[in-house]
Amino acid sequence: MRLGRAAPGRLLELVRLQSGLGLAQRLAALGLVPGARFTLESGGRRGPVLISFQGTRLILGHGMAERIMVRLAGKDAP
Amino acid sequence: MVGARQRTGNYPGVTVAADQGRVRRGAWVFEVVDLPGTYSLLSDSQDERVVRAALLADAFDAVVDVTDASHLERHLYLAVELLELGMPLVIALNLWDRVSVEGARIEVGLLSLLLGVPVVPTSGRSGEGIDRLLAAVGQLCEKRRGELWPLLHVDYGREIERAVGWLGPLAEPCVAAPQCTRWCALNVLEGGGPCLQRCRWCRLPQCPHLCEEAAQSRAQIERRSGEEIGMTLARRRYDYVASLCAQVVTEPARAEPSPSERADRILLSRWLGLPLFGLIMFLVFQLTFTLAQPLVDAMEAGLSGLRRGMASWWSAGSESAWRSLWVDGVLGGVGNVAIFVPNILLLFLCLAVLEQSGYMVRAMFLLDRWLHRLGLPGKGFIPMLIGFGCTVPAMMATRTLASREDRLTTMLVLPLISCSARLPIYTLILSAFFPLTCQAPLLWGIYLTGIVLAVLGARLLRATVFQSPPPPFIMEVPPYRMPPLIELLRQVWERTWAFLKNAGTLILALSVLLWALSVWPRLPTRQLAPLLRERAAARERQDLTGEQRQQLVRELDRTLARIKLEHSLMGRVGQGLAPVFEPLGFDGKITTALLGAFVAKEVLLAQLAVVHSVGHGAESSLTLRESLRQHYTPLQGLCLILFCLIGTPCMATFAIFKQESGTWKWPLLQAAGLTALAYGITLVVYRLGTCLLNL
Repeated sequence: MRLGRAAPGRLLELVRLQSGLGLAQRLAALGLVPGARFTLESGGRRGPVLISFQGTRLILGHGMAERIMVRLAGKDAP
Repeated sequence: MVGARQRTGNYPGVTVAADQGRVRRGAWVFEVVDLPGTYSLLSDSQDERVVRAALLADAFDAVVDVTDASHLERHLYLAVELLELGMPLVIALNLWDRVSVEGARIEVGLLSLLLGVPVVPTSGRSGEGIDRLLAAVGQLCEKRRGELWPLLHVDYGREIERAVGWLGPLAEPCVAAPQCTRWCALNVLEGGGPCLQRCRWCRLPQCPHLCEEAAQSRAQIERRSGEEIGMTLARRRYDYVASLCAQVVTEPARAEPSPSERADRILLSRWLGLPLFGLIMFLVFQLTFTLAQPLVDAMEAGLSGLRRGMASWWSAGSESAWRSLWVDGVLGGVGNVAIFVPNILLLFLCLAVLEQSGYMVRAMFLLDRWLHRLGLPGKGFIPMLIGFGCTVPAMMATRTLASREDRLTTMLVLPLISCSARLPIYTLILSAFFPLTCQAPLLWGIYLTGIVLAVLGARLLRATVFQSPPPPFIMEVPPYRMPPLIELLRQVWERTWAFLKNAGTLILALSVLLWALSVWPRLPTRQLAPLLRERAAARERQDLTGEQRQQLVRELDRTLARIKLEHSLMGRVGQGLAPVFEPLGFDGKITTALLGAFVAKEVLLAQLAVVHSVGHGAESSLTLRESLRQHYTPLQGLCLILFCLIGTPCMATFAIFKQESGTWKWPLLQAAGLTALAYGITLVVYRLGTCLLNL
């Protein structure tokens, strides 16, 4: 599912980035590569998202969140 | 490092251009260039392009990478990229104080050994470690001058390394310095972006052969790995950083959410977030305008005292040109500048507190969703709000917007938001023509018209002139912190000084120019003398009581002011332009007053009073009101309001836009565009209104 549509408060795993080179590299420079795990703190639904990742909290714009594919991870996994 | 500390984070008030400074330590004098903060060199946002261009185009003796030591993993990526390029690097582990507070440990010596560069813990806040950092930079510059830099080799995996090994010799003739060969090979292999901008040694257009080979290798590698090669490179680089951090950083076990996270549960919550933001903005507005009012009043009182004092150097009623120049031209102009200072000081204080406490980023998070739909960036709200007070500080508040397109869009539509100087115009005209019950709804309507036009204007500009897609929006959320007072004050002072120096001088010059237009050419003596004689005679008349005499003198003074203005260039231009504005229902008097309103919107009323030979001010606005009612229809009044709302911004807005955009183009276009828009809308309203009333 898309990060922009996930429910807040869950542990998520990044599956894939649907985007051009620029965005992928920008995210990878922050360590957000496929396999990375983070918590969605709040946001989504047509707005930006706030994630908590390795002790840092990041805001990702809505456009970006729509292009990041994630799945539930850890104890939240189906 | 240079003392003028830059703000942190890749958000508000970002270094728009590279800031420079000079610092002396012992025998060394350093020229320091401060570049915008960035996470990496290779992605394509505006900040990163600036940094890349600066780093690769200029030859620096040393590059200082200021990292956030409390999030080392995120910040070492850039250091690794710089070392791969062979930059003479010194790493500053900034926010060192926070590391110890959080209970983490970093093996500084080991990190330095592993990367082969000096690493210095610093705290920008307390200034701790800055001396050591400068010493390290100085030593590096001396030791390594003229030497080639050892490159950092990140292992990119068998296939990529093989391709790089093969492309390297092909790339060699294309690069001017041998240490760039590997970088260049990786770069062409990645195939993203124009290489020439990335490397000053590279002459790639001469090597089409290399690019073709690289494209083939890239296709092969991507087919096998199933991901873009840029992604693979970034991931490997990040893995390298992660393994470095695993060796040097010991993180404390974290079970509880931090105080900032707990605070954000309320401040960013779905139901409370926006109301709390509203409350904070209300406080900012109150502080900027209500609290500044006594200061503004005191300043005005001081200045008018000064004007009276200076005027007394000449005999009472003197018509000396020098008196008029100094008292009305220069001191009046100084007043036009000084009047903004209290607002600007307080606004910048509020903005600095919001920025430095860490709330600004969160406000953006809250607002982005809503403003995005209106075509405005998340932080566009703050300048808009400030715009209801005054457009000048509002334009300065757009510095908090990250992209130039966003800034220009917001600044271009800002004058449509009714500033407080326009309120007296609205209220006076409304009260002259409309019954009390209609006034409040009409006033709301006027404000709303401005807002709707601003939003439509922003959308239109976004869809036409500034089509570039919004920059990808990633932002680190810093923990809340108490803004350090000295830094706050220094920042506020710097920005206010910049206003005085740049926009202030332009406002002063324009004030004097407009003053000259309104007094020159002077009334010839043969016309002036009888009027002065009449006034002198009125003073001497014994058949009137003291009060009647004063009233007569005041009336004669007003007539004199009107005749002088009509005789001046401004009056003549106003009369000359009258036919142009006639379709809008404006006569020569209104046109002259509108010209004067370029000084400041509130001047319109004073000018109207002069051209109608009536008093103006708290005690006499009644007469201006009556005079307006006698001469014009309610529709004309409404059209005048509309024209004031939309039309030409005041000269202070013009000056500040010139300062903030750095060119004459945009302020000129704005002035022309808004005047044309005002003309069009007022014309339609007046014509339609006339037709409807005639039915």
